[in-house]
Amino acid sequence: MKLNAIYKYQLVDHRNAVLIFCAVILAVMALVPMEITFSSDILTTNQSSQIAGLDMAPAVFLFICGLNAFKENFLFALQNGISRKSLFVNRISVAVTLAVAMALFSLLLLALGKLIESPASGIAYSSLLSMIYQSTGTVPFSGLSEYLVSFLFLTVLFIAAQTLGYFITVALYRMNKKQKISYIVGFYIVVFVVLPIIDMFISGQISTILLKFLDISMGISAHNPFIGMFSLLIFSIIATGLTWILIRKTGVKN
Amino acid sequence: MNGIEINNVTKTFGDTLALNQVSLTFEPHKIYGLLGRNGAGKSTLLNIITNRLFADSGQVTIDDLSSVENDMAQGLLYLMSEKNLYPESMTCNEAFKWTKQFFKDFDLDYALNLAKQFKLNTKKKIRSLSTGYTSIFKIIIALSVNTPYVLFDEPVLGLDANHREMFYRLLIEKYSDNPFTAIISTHLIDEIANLLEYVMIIKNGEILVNESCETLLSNGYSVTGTIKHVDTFIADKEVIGEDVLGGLKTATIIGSLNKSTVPEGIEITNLDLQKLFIKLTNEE
Repeated sequence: MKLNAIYKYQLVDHRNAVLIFCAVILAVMALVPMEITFSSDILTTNQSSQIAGLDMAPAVFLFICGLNAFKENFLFALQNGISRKSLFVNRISVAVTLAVAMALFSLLLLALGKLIESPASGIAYSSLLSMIYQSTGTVPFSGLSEYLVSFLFLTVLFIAAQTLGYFITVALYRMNKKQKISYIVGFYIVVFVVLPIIDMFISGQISTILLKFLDISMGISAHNPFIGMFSLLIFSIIATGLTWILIRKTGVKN
Repeated sequence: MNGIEINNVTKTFGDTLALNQVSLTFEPHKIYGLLGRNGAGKSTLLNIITNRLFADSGQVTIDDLSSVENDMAQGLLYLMSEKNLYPESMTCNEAFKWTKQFFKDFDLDYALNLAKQFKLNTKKKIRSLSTGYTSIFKIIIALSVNTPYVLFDEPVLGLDANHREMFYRLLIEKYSDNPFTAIISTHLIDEIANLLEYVMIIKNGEILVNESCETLLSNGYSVTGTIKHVDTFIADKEVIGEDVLGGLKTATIIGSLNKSTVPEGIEITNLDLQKLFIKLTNEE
């Protein structure tokens, strides 16, 4: 009963945000054909409008959900006699539930995109999967396989996004004020100042290595989303393990 | 039921020793007073029992179940803590409904009835409650949760005299109807002295006193009378406190009383728990 309750509580915690997000995305989808219908420019010059990577938005949204999913839930769980382990296990279940729900929502967007996509309407819709893994000369995903692969890829991507957000928020909770400021400021300085400067002096070798790593780990050049799914899964497992190490001994802070 | 058993629990925060080899037992169906000065280690002990903090060493069991990371053991107790652990954006009504989901014996009707008695607006969000009403909100849950062990950490924080009186009355009513173990940590010793069956006093992280209230209070007595009479009577006795009001003086004395030696004009009453507490916990 208590375990059901903590699962339900954590899921309900995201309900309003998820509903608002879905409504906004659907409104955006509805606005595109309306905008094209009423835009005289497009009708007269026969330009096309492209909706691309709209399903990246849920990944960002779920990352933020992950960032906001720890402190309140942790304290509320302890108040109600729920152990850290039960909270964490149920958090994983909630993350998977949200990822599956959002992946299904993205498939709905894909279906709607396909519906409104036509040369006559001037709208071209491409999913995140197509954007990353299709390039000129490769066989495009189509039909049921596109939906199936998209669903799997997005589910794993959304789990990874939440896992990263949750890990960051748990790590920040464990830190004291000085540590928090040092890590946040240090991160920005290293990523946005130090690394670009060093990169500039060594003829862009760092960015080349990073891009190559991203390319190989995500299977982009290989046009294989399953490599990407595998890497995201490994990333999620590592981040989840590290999060558990941080959570298992954490206490209520004054 | 074996109660809450604490064995050799030690807890440090950096260089501060909060609890030092603490061992004690809270038996079922009794009302305990957990007393101590600020920073004595009361809240730390309650937080360790309820799995909110981990002890550095030692064990805590609740009805023979380890309290550490154990949902079943933790389901047997409820801590009304000084610190609010409820989401601030939650309304009182929502908090009641969620508590019902976590504790199957939570009496929602009773909670709503108490809210009415305390005039708590249950539609209000927790963040908008005053300090007093935040305490009332938590008291209502603690009195309605119906777990075998209910721990109160500073339950009357910010409450006016009427609401404090109401809380003590409700606690006794609840205990009489359906006995449970209540552990009350408070600084308002005078007010709860009559409620307590057992007293535990913590000083600098160590248990100083662990006795029944009756036994503890039989260690001394108070005398009241004119200043002259009282001064004469207490001349050869161990006095732990004196109060003078107008021409009357009250002195608190440690030691046994020989009633035949009490002169006329002196009134004898029970030992004042607060006075004894101050005497025992004074650093000098």
